[in-house]
Amino acid sequence: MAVMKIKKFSFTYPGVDHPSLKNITLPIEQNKITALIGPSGCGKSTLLRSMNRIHDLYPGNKYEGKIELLDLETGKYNNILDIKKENEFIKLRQQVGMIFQKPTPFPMSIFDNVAYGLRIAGIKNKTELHDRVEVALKGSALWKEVHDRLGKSAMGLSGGQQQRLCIARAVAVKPEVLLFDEPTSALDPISTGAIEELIVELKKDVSIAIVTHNMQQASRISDYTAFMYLGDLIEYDKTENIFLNPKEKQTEDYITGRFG
Amino acid sequence: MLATFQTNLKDVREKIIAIGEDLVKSNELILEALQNCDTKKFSEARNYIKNISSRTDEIDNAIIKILALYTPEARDLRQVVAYFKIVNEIARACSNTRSFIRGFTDVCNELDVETINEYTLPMQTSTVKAIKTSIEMMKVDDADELQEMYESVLIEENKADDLYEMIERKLVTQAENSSKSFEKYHKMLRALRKSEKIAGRAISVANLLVYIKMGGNLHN
Repeated sequence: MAVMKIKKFSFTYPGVDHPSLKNITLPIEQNKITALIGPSGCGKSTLLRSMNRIHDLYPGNKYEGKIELLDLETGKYNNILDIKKENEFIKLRQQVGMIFQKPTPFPMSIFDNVAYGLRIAGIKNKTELHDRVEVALKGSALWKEVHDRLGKSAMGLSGGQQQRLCIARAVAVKPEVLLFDEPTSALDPISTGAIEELIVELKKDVSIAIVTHNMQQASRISDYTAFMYLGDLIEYDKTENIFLNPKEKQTEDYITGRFG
Repeated sequence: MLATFQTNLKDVREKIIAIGEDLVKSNELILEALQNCDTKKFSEARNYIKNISSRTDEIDNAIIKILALYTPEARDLRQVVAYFKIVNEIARACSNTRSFIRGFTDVCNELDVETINEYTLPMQTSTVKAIKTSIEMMKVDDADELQEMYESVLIEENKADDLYEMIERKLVTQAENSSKSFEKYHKMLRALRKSEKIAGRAISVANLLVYIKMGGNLHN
């Protein structure tokens, strides 16, 4: 079952004539990991960012088609491109969280970083806050490393720990979908391994879309893979099919490094 | 490596062990069947190694998937490559076992009791021990224990080899004395050669398992 349905979606940045994404149709399956791969400039990050409309922090973007998000309570799909009000955007970004390439901890304590989204969501009770922060940090495999220094600044954590903290911050508000934009490209192999383990673990509770330039990472952790090129979706299939028997020559050329 | 890689590899290992254990059972039944040329037991032995190719195909495809998805390195890579080759060795050992059963069932009664007791039974006993130990090696992780088991597979394989040579000499002499029965002796030797080949496969499997643990260069 798809938690998100992208239908005939096109996207144009402000002041540009040609769309950066053209007529994309793609599901994001529930409790699965979907990897978006393709060369630089193919539109994978643009597509990912459209999924929680983070582009709309700047005005003038043009959208066509639909991006439907499943409402887990009602079982109905809502087109997120219809959202216009600020409070609806906040709700959307709670439902669809995002982790960036570089860890982005806030300049505050470890505890406050994780509690930030919870407080915005209206949770004020200290015990509940503490419990939710603990659950999120445990779920992000960070609790053992930070439980005795929750009041210390998050800026003192290593890059890998900061990235896991950002994941904890996103997980704390119980999103339906988590979007990862090259989450390990700034990390060493050990931290990368820890984040990959964590992403695989997280899919039990949340559906995941990940943009990565690392073919091995896409093949290791994802269930579905979409290959994009110049704003088009060239091929989407189960990851093992994409990496073993791709249907399109362009996909095969890209994953075997024969592109261009 | 990710837990999913370990799970997939564990699944492959378990499937290889399952085929290997069926191969051992089949050869143990052959050993029993040889004692009084029991055709029913020969047929039972064949049942254990039915549909092997579909089982090995399944494992081969799982290994290709592991290679494609997880791009293993170092020990992980040695393990995946060694498993790929082990599956092939076991599949060929199963084929040798089938040929042994097929070839020997017809001529078993014509082999004299002395040849059976002195050479054929000890040879098949060594073959069973060799293949059984090599399959058990798949469950062992300790380097010393693995090396010790490898030595015992080597000893049993050498025994099977020597015993085959002795049978060969004996049967060739018999064939020379009775030229009319040449075809019969030729059939016997061809069948018995398969048992010796199975022991040879066991040493290849053991070699590959040591390669996983110790590394170095892959050689047959």
